[in-house]
Amino acid sequence: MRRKLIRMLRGRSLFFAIFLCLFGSISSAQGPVVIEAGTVLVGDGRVMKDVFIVIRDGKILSIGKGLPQGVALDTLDFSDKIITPGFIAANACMDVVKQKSEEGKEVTPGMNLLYAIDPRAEDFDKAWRSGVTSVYLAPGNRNIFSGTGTILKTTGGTLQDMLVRNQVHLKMVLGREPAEGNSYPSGRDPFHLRNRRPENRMGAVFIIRYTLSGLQNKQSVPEEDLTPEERMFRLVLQGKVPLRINARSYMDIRTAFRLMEEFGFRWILEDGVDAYRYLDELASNDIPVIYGPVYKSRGREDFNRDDDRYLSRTPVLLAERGIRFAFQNNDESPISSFREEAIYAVRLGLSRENALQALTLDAARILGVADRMGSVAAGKDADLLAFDGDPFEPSSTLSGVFIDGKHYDPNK
Amino acid sequence: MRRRFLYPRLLAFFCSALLFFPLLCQAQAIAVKAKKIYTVSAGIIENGIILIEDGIIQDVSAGPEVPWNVEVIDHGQKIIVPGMVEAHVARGYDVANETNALTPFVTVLDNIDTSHDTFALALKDGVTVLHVMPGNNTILGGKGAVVKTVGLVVEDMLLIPESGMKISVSGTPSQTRMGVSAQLRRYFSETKEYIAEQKQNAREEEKMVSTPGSFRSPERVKYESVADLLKGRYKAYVYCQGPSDVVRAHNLSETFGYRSVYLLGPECYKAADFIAEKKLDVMLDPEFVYFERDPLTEEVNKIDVAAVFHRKGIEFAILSDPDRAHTRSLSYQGMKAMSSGMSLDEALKAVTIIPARMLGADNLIGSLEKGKLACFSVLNGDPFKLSTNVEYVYIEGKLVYERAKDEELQKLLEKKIIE
Repeated sequence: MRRKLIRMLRGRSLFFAIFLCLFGSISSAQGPVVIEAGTVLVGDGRVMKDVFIVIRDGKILSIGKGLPQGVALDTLDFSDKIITPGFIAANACMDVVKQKSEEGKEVTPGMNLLYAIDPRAEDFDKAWRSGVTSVYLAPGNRNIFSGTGTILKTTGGTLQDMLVRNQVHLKMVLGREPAEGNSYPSGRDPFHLRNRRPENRMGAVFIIRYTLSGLQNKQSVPEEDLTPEERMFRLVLQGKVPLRINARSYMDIRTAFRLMEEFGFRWILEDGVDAYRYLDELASNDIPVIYGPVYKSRGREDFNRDDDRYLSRTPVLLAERGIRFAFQNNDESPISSFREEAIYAVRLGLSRENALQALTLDAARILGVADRMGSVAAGKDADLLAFDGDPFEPSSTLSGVFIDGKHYDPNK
Repeated sequence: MRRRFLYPRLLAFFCSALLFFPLLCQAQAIAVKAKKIYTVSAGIIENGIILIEDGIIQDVSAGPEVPWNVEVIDHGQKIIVPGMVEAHVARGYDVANETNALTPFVTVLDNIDTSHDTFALALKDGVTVLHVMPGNNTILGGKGAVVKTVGLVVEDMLLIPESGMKISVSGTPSQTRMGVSAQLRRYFSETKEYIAEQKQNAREEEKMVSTPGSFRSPERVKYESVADLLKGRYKAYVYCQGPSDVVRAHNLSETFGYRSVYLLGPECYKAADFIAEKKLDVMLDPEFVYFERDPLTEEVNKIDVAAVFHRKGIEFAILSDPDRAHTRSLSYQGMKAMSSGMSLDEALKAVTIIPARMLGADNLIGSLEKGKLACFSVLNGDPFKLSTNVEYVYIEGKLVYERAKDEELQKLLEKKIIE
């Protein structure tokens, strides 16, 4: 009798298991989802019409005209929408960290912003609701080497779930920002806590030379004898971690080129406000530029009015020279208006293909994560946006967001 | 010998001058032709002509008879829309507010800087009329003026010199809402007493033949402009930061009997039902999208304010703020209103006839119809498209802006780089 019961239960459990399999694959977000897309802007310039995008486990399984046999279960109808890859802010300024700079020292390459980020901050919601699915966040501008940045998805649970890659680029800041407000008063103990160098641009460059040449002299020292900070610099000098140089003014860009010749590192120009003055050098050395915001209100103190015209035209000039570039925002333009940067660049003459590429694939390439995101292709993360119309027309609405295959409604 | 020939020539000149004199007088009449005319009041007219005489529209229709002596300007395949109207701007001068909170006697006429960016930028965007107002950071801020966007001195630009009183009921950093309300009520009550006193004086003045006028008395300076408001000479433009401010401001205007237009902060979408019920005149904050965090669940909600008001069937005017990229111009705001679900027609109304009605100037501006001022812009495509440019702007029948001759824009768009 006991055996009979067990057999009966087994039979039932088999049914139950089959039922669970079927039901589970329909209802859970992890199962395959099919998006019936009207138009897909792939991100690399290609356009696909009337295709099916199959998503499984947060990745794009396939994209094509026909449906793969035996997996299609849940079809989402986006046949009247335009699908694009999720936008990537290659240098995001967001209100997700209270204090972005570690100001005790001027050289802090060991700092990692990841541990200071509040994943529940409102700016993450603003970001994904306006189409930004991934952001690069880095420490502030008050240090010369201020630490390494992090790539995060803008929603999806805990910080661990959102994390794409940590310690991506080492940030170096040229110009007056690390020196602002520093002082070295005479009579005080030179090692006093409140004394901070550098006091000006040349002081900053001196500290960079001092740090990097010190590392060059230690080339024969084995890895394990180095401090963690020195190990980071070694990775930079070996070219394994790119240096991201924040150089706003043209003289700082000049300095960056000079340092590159001296130390031979690979670098990326961040906040390249004056990049238009060095188009030839940037193109010949294959240096990517992160630029933004494109729209600037008038009368900013930093720049004279004569320069304004070039500031806005910079994306067009970069695209003409074939220099890889991506968009960023700063404290003047909220992350919720990130799409507007590209819209304004399009208005000033940038082609829509170039603008989309700068928002997606080129940003991913600059961040070194083009294998995971940046275009609608099989094997990549399912970070997709669905627009009602042309994504570069302000009158069209963002009506759907997919991050890691999960469907969100941005208008709630 | 020479002189003999001079007289006939002079005579001929005078004769011809006399002959052509009536023509010279009529030289102000023009006819503007375009592929499409968005009249706002009477739909779209294909291949229409606008007949203009002395800056005033005489006729807008598909095929009116153009008198032989009228100059015809043919814009070919271009599209004409009415000049846009921005019903509240707190710019066009250096400082938006007085530091004193109760300054109803000041007027922006003394403050407007005609060479300020605001006017040139607005003109390039196709905005022909601006309502310049004091800023939000006062209680009784002063009087505004409705101006055209072109002119060397304020007098050239003026459309309505004293157009409204700026009021804010939302409190300042140093004052609570109850303090602000109390001060407003006190000021209005005092003004009422002042008006009654004036009436009394006027009766006495009738009896006595000569009384010295009281126009220089400090009393008069203090109360006259608020008295004008209470007498209904102009409207109040009331800034409301939150939904409760709308109700409070409405009650105040009911009590003291003045007409109001409400400038809403983004959170005021919560008062949408009240606004719909009372049929209030409202202008939306330039920021259409409002993010709000639920204090209990900590969930962030995105509210499309324009969509909320649109769904409730409330007509509103749209404003812009050039300091921020995503609200930078009125046409851009129109595009965004369309992304909030408004049709092209509705979005166009929200930047033309609706603000004109709120300013009480819908007999002059806001649409293209007979008797109104000929303020319009000529576009190279449909309105509220990113690729559309403003090619020409006409104000009162005069060509005041030409894109091809806009030096600043040419510099911006030229490809050359200086070394």
